[in-house]
Amino acid sequence: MFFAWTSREVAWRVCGRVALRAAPFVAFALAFALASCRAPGDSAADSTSARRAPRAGRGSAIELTDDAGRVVHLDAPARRVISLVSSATETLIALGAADRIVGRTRYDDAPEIAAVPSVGGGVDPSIETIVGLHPDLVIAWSADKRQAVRAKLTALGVHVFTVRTEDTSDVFRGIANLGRLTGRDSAALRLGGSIRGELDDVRRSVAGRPAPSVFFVVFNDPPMTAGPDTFIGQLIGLAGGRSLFDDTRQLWPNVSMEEIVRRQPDVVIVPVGEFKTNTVDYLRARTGWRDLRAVREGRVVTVPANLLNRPGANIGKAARVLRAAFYPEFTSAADSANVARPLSAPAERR
Amino acid sequence: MSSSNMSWSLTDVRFRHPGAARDAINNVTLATHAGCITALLGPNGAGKSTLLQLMLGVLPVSSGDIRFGNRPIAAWTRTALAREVGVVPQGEAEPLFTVREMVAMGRYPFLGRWQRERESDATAIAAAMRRCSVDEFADRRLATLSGGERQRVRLARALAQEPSVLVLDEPTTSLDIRHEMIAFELLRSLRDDGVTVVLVTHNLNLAARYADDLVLLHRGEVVARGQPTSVITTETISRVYDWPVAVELNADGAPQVVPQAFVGAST
Amino acid sequence: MESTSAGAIALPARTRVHYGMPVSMRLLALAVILALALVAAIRLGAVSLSTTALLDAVTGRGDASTVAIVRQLRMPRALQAALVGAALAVSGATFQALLRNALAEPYILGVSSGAAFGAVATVVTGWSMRSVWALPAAAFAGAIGSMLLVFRIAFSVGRALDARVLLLAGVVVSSFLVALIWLVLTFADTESVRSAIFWMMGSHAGASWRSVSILATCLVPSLAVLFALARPLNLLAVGESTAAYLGTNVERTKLIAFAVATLLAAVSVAVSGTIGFVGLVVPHAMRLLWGSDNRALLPCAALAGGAFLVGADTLSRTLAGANELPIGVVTALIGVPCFVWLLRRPAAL
Repeated sequence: MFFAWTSREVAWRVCGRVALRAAPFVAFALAFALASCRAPGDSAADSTSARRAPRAGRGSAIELTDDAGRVVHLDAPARRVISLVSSATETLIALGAADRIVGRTRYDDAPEIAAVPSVGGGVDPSIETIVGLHPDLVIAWSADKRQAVRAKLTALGVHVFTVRTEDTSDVFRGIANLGRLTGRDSAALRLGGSIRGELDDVRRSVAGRPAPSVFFVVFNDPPMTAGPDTFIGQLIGLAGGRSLFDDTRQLWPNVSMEEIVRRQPDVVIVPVGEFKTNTVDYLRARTGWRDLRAVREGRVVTVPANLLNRPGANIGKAARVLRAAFYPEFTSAADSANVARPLSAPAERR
Repeated sequence: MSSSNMSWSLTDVRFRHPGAARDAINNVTLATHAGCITALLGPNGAGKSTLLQLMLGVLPVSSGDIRFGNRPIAAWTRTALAREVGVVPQGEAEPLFTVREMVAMGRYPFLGRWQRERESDATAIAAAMRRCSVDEFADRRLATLSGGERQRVRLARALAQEPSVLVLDEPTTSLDIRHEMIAFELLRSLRDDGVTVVLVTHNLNLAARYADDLVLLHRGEVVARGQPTSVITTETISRVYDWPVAVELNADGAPQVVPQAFVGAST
Repeated sequence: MESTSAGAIALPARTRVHYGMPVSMRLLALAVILALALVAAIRLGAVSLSTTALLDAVTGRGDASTVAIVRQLRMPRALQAALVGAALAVSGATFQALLRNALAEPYILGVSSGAAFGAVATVVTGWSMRSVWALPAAAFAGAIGSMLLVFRIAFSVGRALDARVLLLAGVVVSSFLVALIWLVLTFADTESVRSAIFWMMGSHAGASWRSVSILATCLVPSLAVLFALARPLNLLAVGESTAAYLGTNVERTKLIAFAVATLLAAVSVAVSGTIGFVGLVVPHAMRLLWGSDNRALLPCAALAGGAFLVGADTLSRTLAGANELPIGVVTALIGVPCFVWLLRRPAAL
């Protein structure tokens, strides 16, 4: 093989090589799907450092420490905002600041900003599109390990505020911070209060009930779930459930099918709409999944993925949807569209 | 191509491959004669190619002394040696070079790093290509040539060096009768022009006809040396090659080896 | 065969091979293509610009954000793509000659996996959050480290640098590092995995004038060294003993050429991640067009590689609007059909 130089051989070997080179990309693509199926994780460093900076003294100038611990200074509340973080985009809309949003990512589907131009992906946006939109503030992921987007925009004189999106405290801090940055502090206060009220209502309503064990399917092959320290884990607890893997310290752990079967969840939650394979049909067909009592006995609940993967202003609604998933008697008219039990009918027939 | 005193003298040369149990070359003392065709003969594994590599300075001797042109071979730079000695080696890769590009490589030892080919280089290249009859496909890529044609290109590359000594490692292996004869005729005409030729070959009969000086190697040692009639004998060849042969004389007086059918196998 | 006496022959025509085009014309043509690609790269983008706005922006006048887009984003990005393309193509051509192997490419000595390991290490430990330069520096260190490890293994096996041993050492070190990467990523948080994968897909989005100047500083002397080695590389492509017999100090030449070609790949991969295909196919394309002579092949590959990557990068950031396509996707989608066409030409051999 070392002395093969005729063109035909070059051709075949090069073709083979190209095919070989593609193989890792298939693996990457899979891992990428895994990695992007949830909001980004964190590093230990920025989970503690995020707190509000002391107020700036004068006028309408704003000085605020972002979730990566960097102080961001604005001379006035931001009027042209680009959010690279979908949950932050939803929060801005909930704060009544939709008209301030001049750019969104390709994943944002809220009708209020349907006409706003896209700047590409959240961690791989087109920098020149962003610069061309003249933003005075860009909201970015605090957990982007490469820091390329933040560094590049900062070097071009664009203010970047990074947000963490892991647990419910991030949600409330994010609401307050986005309110300050857009000069809508009072709206932020109201929104935070009403979400706290919604969550408290849910928590109170399930007090004293037996807690079902819950497996939340982040991804089905290999199985990945939400750890107890994520906002999903926290909302499951708040809505009266108990995460099947509440003993893990990982945020988004990969777990073995064997262990799921051994632990036998009472309820399996399948967020639908994000991955084509996250379907009930898939679970019913696959060994392991179909051997779960919850699957055989129809205790599989589908919920909208976009409601449960964006830790923003909608977490109150998400908590109610989860509560309805655990306790069917809580299914209200408003939530019924969001909670489905596709397997329960055939199981009852049997 | 000038005749010169460029020849080898080997004294008590030993060489052992790293980790090998015995010497590949064992106590060889040898002097080649300028202006002659010297053929290194011997069965497979006798050490012919190893000896050639030692003489060309690409393998270091374990002990002993090799001198070329009265200087220790290790004292020659590769460039200086390449200006005297043209080599036709075995086993080369065939990238997408054209015949002319390949032959032009024979001029590399004469050119500085950034120096362009001179008129004299072009002349030497053209002459070498013509002498080996490869000029008609100068623009074709090597990959499109037959094995015999490629071998002629390699020979032309060595001739483009305008060497005083030409070294060839089994140059006619895989050539048919016609091309093998053409090659040996060419070597003889080069010798007549004053070029010293040293070659390794398996073809005892052509070596006996064309070479002036035969060196028969067996297990790393020189077992016979001299004119064809003194080296190619029934007794010596049968013993060294471990096969019964008959040696006859052909019309021009050269000894010719005829291997015998093996009868009376004793094992 | 006629045996004419040597020396007295002067052929009427100098039988210099042209393949239809002299070397200077090839270089000029490729330089023009590269220049056009650079102009297109600066002209085109998510924000469309008129020619006058473009010229104003290039000279620093006009709207501040347009100036920033042209002078801080597009120009360094286009230049980085050109430099990386040139570096990878020349590096690949050099490896193919040194190893006499058509499949040789710039990452063959474990450069990309070494760089990826360095990058993943900084991402997982969080060092990449501290400085923008932590990741490229670690990637470069990883690339050089894996190259040294490969050389160490190759030298410990044989007395000299055996191309086949080197190749195998590259493959096993690479596999080992990839295994380590996946081991680390298995236990890493999802965002580290995502960052690592985005890095491994390769992109010029991070280009800056600083990265361009670092690249150019490494590239210019490296290219000069390799161009100076063009004749020895020709000989090595034929065979190592042939090279020795034709005046080459084989071990020294190999060591220098391997080190410089790896350096080119390491610097490229550090600033832009792993970009496949260019280093493998551009040299082959040039060889199929105009032959193996490295004196022409190396500069042609440099210009063609640069033009190819500038074009591919421009397409990657314009084809789908603001959504940037991975550059490896574009290089393969454009490069493969072109290469197949070149191979299938009757005159390919």
